[in-house]
Amino acid sequence: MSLIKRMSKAQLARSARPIYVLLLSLGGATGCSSYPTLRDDPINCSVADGYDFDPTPVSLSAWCSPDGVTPDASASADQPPPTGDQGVCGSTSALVFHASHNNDWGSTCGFNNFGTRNELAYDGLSFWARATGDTSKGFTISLYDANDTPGGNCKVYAVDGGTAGQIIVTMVDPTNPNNVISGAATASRMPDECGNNRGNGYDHVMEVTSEWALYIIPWVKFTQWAYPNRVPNSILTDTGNVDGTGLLTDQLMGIGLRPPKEAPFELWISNITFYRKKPPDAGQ
Amino acid sequence: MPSLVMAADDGLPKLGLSPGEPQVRSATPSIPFGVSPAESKEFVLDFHGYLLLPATIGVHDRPVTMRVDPSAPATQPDGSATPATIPTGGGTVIHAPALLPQDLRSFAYTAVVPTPWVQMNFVYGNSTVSGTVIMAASTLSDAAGYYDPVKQLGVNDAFLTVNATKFFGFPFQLHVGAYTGRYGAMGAYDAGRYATPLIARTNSIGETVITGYKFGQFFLVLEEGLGGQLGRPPVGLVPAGWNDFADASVGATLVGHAHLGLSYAGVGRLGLHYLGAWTKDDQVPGGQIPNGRIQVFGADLNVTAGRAGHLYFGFARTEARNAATVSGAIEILNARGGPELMAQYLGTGTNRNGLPSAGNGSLTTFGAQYDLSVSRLVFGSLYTGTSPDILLSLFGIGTAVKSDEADRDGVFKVKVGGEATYLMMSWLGVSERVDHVRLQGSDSKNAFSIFSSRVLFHTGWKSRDEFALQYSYFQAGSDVYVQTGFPPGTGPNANPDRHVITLSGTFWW
Repeated sequence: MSLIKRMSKAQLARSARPIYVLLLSLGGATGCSSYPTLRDDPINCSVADGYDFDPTPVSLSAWCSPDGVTPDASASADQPPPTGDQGVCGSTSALVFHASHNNDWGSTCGFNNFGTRNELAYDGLSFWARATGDTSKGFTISLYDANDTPGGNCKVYAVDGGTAGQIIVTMVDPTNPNNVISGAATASRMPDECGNNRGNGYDHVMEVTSEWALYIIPWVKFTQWAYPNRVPNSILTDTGNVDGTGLLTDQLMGIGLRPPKEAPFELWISNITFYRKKPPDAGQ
Repeated sequence: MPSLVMAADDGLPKLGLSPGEPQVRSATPSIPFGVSPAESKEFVLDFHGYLLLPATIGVHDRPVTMRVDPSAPATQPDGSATPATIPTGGGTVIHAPALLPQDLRSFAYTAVVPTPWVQMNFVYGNSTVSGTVIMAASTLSDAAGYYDPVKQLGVNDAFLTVNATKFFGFPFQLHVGAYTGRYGAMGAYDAGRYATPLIARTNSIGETVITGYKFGQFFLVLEEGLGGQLGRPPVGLVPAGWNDFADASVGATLVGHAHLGLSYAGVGRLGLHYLGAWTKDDQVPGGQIPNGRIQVFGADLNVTAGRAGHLYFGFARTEARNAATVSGAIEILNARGGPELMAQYLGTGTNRNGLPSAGNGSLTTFGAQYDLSVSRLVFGSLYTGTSPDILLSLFGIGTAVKSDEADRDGVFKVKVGGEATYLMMSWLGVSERVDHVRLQGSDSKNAFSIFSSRVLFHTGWKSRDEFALQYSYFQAGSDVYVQTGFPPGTGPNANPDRHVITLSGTFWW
């Protein structure tokens, strides 16, 4: 080491210049085969094997309403002709939701002919879906039950303008009874209020992929907004039998879908029904 | 490495990276860098920064496929109905960005292919108090294929630093504001070759106090911090590009942490770490979800052994309980909060009882990195960094997953690598790095290797710049794929590019 310490920096530079062997990339010699960029991944229908489904699916008939403010806003729900390749995994039909230019509050869609369904025996909502092309992959899907649907356990207190013979509630300042604060249409919701866009359905915000995939949404994922008519409250005390959500799965009354505002939207849905996990001894 | 913030370090052993140090998510250059903190009794303006500007392309060999010839008659000359087919496709295709299994948030991330990072630190103050504003971006708008506002981070951090050592008579530093905490930094001067804090990272606004006590050759250092986030995604928010695909099901999250370190003669430092992030928010949808918690217990050993190089070894135990509602105030192996911890490790399906997973489980993580300067080894203090050198580095991280989801429980992920860099001249160097990643234990279909060669150019010994031309070859198993779409995962799966070429410039000051 004493010799080394006497070396100048220049000598050090020269002496410390060993032959560096640059390891050529090992793959260079082996990576000449070609393969496609995108995978031809077949749709995996077997993912449904672990579940039992309600044999009576939801009707693939729906309506949509654009925001009505943006001049060229549009929203629609159409069922393409069942040519055999519209659906997925045995289904030959699908429902296609379109929405565009809904730049104000967005748009909303609902399913027709839902009726009142008792899905107590199932674990949640299921469907196959895809959002094709350069469209939004996110949206809100909602379930409605007897606690938030007119005709069920809740009341329609007013409609816009207070017409149609509905009950009108005038909100009064509790500290000054002579001071009318507002009409019911702009006041805080009543605990059992529904209708006139004042219900409190059970929402789930989700994303889908551009290819068909099965979506399994357990009941607990559907939750209400923190409005006064969220259950349980002083009037609506029935919270069903699912921990974590007040959804009455034995009194389901509708399914809704809300595309996000501004974004172009094209969602394909097929096989919309309700699922439950097969018991372990049922085989898959 | 000296801090970019102005507070004098008082010789305090470091338990993690300082908030002002570069937050670059790529492997940093293999040579030491840094600038000395300003020390002034007068208020002065200090400006530091870090630029990593890579241009990367992936090269792919597309196969030839047959398709129907639209110009051919519907029937063949022999009368058959089979339409004529013609070859299509083939040749070389180029992808930018390259299609790589290198999602920053996943375990597969190796940081070997650099990604853009621009950071500017503006510091104003004196040696007692300073304010730091950090502006950052992970893209460059001029060269971006589309404008992604999420990658223009803007004012990423802002915090005040107080050095009250002279008032108390013992080391005392206080940070107040919004900044990151990075614990488990595997490199001597940075987060390590994987650019991943082994124990945890915090992203919060709050406070951190660092104090210490020196006795003999020993230095005891204590650090604690508490923070939250400025806001949470509004309930009902639909994930979209503009909000970085926020998950509105997470609640307002607090993160607290405490660290105890003991160093000896500046050679070795043993650290014990605890971090806990929790949420108790009733604004989440329905307001009926359980409270969530992610806790990390960690220990690490940092040895700076002079000629023998730098050794880091760390261990972390991450425990998650109903973590689905914990936000990105805490990152585990770069996965933000409970949702990403579930997506990457614990699972987002159903548990053994058939109920939806809520983010219950644990990660047992260990990692090590060893860096050696051959010239320093041979010549000791005679080597001053102004002559040729060979830098050797070995590194690895492994994590064992325990989850209440059957298909995620017991999964073991590991990645190891090595790098050799020869700085042969003041302006020229070469480097070879090899990485191997196994995402599902011994399953070779879920494993890949990366072989990277680099030619390095500098403007001189100890320069603050590096220009690199890099070629990486990816050899991936058949089940390794790249997620496409926006966000990744919403589009079709793609095969990784095999050949990746990068030209990058790095500069720091």
